Amino acid sequence: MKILETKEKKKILEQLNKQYGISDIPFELIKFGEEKIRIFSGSIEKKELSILDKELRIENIGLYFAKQEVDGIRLTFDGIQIFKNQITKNILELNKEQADDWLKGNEIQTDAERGFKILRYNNEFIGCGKSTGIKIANYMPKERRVK
Amino acid sequence: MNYEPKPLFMQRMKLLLKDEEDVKNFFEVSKTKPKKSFRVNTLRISPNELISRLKKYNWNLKQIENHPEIIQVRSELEPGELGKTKEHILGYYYIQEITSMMPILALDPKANETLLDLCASPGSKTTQAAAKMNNQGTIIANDVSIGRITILSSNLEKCGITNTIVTLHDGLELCNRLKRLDYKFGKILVDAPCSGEGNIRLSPRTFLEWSEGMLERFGKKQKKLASSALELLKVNGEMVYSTCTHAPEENEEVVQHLLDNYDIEILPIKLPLITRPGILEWKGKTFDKSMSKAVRIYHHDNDMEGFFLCKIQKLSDKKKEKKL
Repeated sequence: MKILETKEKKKILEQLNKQYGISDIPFELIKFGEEKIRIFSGSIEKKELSILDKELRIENIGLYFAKQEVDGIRLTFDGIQIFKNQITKNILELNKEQADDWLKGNEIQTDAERGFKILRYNNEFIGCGKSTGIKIANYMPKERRVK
Repeated sequence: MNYEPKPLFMQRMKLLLKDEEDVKNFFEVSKTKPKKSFRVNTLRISPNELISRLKKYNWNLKQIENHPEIIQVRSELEPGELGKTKEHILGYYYIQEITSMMPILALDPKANETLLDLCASPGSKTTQAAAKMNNQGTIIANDVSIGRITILSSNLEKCGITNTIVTLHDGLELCNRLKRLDYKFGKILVDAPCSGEGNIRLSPRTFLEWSEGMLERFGKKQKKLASSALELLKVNGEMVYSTCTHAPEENEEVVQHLLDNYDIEILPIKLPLITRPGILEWKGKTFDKSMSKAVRIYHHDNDMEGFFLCKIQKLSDKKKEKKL
């Protein structure tokens, strides 16, 4: 577990702003491994958190909200819900058929420009995927898909 | 498969319940399934907004008085129907038995408090507490098994919980480690592993596995767990001890053990269900008269599941002299 310093947090926020329009992260950012970024809104101090990390077997903290990939940051399904009021860029509107497909875990055929897209249907954000210009691969966790 | 209660279990329930009619009702209701229920995840949506969105499913929904987030489904549902909706996938509601929501109503955690949920998996009560705390303050949610931690973590994510630290420890070991750090909490929930007598409507297999020896074994563990947790409670802090069983060995006897060893008092609890007071005597053992403030919930009183809850306040860090 690594609690990100202000400088690292700022860098991530700049990237999130560029990709999605997110302008404020009122939480601590914590990295688990190289790629997974978690947000923690708990009231305990950083110093105290580090002590707990040394003394306890911490399996998780806060919410897994984003993954740093080579070509940008991909938001998780639950990360999107946290920042839904701030997301203004790279939104791809889906029709009902596409939204149903996405929630079932299927990829979506689309000619949207390449890059990460936040998918929206009926004013509701339902996921984040990466467009290849032909399709969007589905990252919906298996246990969350509509059966 | 149809499981029948063992004669000794029936005999014990006769001692706990009021009269023959009460006993008859208890065992009749135990053969039926409880109504489904869920809790609105107020971190994501308001109860009114969700109810309006759920109208399309034609479910007959009833909100619990003064707790609009707690909803019972009165219609008959297909298996898994409640978990298949888009609203469930979006984390707008959490499927949970209503009696299992009572410990957090009793504990009433507030934003900016620190809460220890010692036996947290699958996370029903942790997610409920985090919602009541509006994702502020801090929760340490612990469980002993990695498999159960996975379920706990998944449920926390689904509900958008951001104020929680999940730890993997045996409950006693976690308490020891936190004690060494002198780490204290304003609120603690010990929803202890138990024999599950209150869950027989959903898990009738409990009848098969049940034995009096099992109650004694659980009781011993629960006393240790509750005592260790109590040592982490701040002075004037509050702890709820709960189980989903009726056995006094796992309930009043555990609380009496705390009363005998610590400077605490039992606080009254007001819940939106029909409850009965904790008992004052069991098999020759007498309990403190304040035990009547503890709460017993029987499945036939509410058409739900059974539970036991006791809310405790720590008056000082003093330990009482051991009784000889």
